[in-house]
Amino acid sequence: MTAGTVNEPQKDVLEAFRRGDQDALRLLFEAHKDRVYSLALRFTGDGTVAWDLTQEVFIKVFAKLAEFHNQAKFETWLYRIVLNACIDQQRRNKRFVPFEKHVKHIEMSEEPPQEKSYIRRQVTEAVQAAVARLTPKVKAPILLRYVEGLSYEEIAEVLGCRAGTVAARLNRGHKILARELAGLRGVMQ
Amino acid sequence: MRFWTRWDRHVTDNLSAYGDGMLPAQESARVSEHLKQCESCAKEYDEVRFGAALASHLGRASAPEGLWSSIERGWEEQTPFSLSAKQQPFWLAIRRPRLAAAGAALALGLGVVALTLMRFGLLHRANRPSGVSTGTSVGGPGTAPPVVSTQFDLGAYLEPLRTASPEESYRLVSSASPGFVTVAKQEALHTAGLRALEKESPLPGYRLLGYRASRVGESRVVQLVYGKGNEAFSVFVAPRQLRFSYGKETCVDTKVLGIRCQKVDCPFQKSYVFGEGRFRCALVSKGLRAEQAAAVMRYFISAHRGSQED
Repeated sequence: MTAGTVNEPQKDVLEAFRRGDQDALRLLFEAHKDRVYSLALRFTGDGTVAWDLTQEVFIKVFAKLAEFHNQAKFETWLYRIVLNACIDQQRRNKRFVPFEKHVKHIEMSEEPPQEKSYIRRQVTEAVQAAVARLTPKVKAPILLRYVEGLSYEEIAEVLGCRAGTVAARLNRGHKILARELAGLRGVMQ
Repeated sequence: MRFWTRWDRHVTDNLSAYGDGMLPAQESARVSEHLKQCESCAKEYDEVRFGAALASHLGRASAPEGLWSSIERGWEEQTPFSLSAKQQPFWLAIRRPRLAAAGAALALGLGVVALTLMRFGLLHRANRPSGVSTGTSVGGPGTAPPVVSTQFDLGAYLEPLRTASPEESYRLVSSASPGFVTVAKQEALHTAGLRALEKESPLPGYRLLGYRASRVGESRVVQLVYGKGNEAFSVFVAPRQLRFSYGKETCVDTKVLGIRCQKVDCPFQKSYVFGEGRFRCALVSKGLRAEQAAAVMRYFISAHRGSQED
């Protein structure tokens, strides 16, 4: 994808909103709900918190939409709002212990071959939990790369840093994940 | 010699970019050559590739159903002008300070004129609708009572609990009721009449995990979520004039360890309505024991005791 470019249908939606068509908000929500919810879910590792954050982000986006101009990149703007909301939420709740912090250990030998999809789901849950524990600096590029599929340059634009910095943070994130989830090597092969 | 130093330099910082094909050709060739000769970097590269393979399990998740309705309610609550804005051009929405200030000044001016006219008995007579006798109205000066919602239905919030597995139920109980948005903790506690309490949670081991609020008619309702491990319960706190309802379920009067309350007559949850002073509360849980439910009710009742309605 071309991160952040305002494609034509979206431009229409923004124009409609400026004309006073409030149904445009619903269209904007439909176009971006999975994007926002996924980032919030992967960031926090908690569906309930992700629900709250998605709600908070869209209300913020609607409130600020009048300030958004087409020449800016909408997705870039949106990603920043989502990530900032997630970081703020983490700061607010850092004293609280998440409901599920335990990584489930999966042994290949215990699972029959027909349960591949089950294993995949368990691996995804374990990865999501490990990613949720990363620091925001490392977590943000990991999520933009693997949830949103952005290039290094696109991530750098969202985060306001150099592509080299993105590469270094991704490197660090990959190593942490590999060490934390070393027990999954057998399952992944 | 310089050539050898360059090719000999470890490449650990570039491994992710190399694996993703993000390095310039010359640098990529250098890393490739180095990995053939350096066991330590090759090992690290293997680790980075494994980390990347793990991360690739992350992907888009589908947003759950029901999000839009809660966003819409939250949006309308936050922007009181947004409802009228639906029928107005965007530029008329009062967001610009000058326009807002002009509107406020105009309203103030009209108010002063109206008060002056009322003082001289002019507006009062002029405003009286034809055919309505103000002299015989029951209960006072003939002003229409404000429109207030007297019921808060928890049915939509509780419905998914009906079929939830035990693992899912704690998430559902702790999830936001439609229209509720997270607010500042102090604000939530203050609205719920709990500001002065020493203990943050009514049950040992449980923590206050969520604090949300919503507006129901003229009233503000707070949802407080408490959790421990995989167990959670929510307490909704509302002004006394608001009555809770539970969709199709009905409430029956009961006593739990001496505490007078109403129990929701429903097999898939344990919920109680109780209240003291100017507050009414609804405790929603999947399986709190009677003594735990009583402790929660006691906690809120003691906080609200004496807070009589004005």
